[in-house]
Amino acid sequence: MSTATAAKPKPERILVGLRERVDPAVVAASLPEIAQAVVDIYDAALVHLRAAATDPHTDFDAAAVVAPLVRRTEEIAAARSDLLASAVLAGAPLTPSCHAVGIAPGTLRRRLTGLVRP
Amino acid sequence: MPGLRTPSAANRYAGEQLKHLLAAELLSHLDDAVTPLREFAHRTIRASDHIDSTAAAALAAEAIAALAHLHASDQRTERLQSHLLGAEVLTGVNVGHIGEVTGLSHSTLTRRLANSPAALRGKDIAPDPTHEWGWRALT
Repeated sequence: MSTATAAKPKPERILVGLRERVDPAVVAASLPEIAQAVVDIYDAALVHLRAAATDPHTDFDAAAVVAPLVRRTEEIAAARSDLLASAVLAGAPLTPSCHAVGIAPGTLRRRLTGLVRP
Repeated sequence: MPGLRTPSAANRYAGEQLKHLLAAELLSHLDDAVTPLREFAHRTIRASDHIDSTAAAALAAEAIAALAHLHASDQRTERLQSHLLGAEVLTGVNVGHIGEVTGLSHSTLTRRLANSPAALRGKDIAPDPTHEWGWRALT
């Protein structure tokens, strides 16, 4: 095992350190706003699809309809990851939450490590 | 499909029909996928002003459940997107155009469209409600 690997803190340990610094209630209070941010990204990406789907008589370019969803994949993933990180800081269990939302615990660890650094 | 004699005309007809059906299905699917998160945000926006750690954990669990619902829908979202793009190919649109507009690479499109209506391009086709996208190739 390399030194770097050995020194890598486990997600739960980072979480303990972070939870000592933040108030879960304060983080939890921000969850609706962060959730709304995820919803807003989807709503913006669905504008063309909504128009195409609700007018069955108009021809449309399927690529242009799908493009916003595809091109905003990273933005959507980042927003979802923000919500996961905040929910975990607010008290959700780390590993089961990561598995439930399809994000690797290691990925969340890197995200939380970034929050620990000044 | 009376009056449609050539595969290309049949393909165009099927592709246009499919595009509208799949667009409606994709929209309905995504609306359903996002609904728990939307409801969570609306319902809790005021309730979260003054909460203790127990309520915080409950709120966090709700957010995770809504995210999990969204995650569970991802695979079907991608499949419906692929079918919608495949229907566009069926109408005669070039895959290169789709790659240019969506930003998807040619190899990604080739992989995703292999199991979509695009696979029917150039074949005689007929409506088939038992098939995943409602049409099948005539042998």
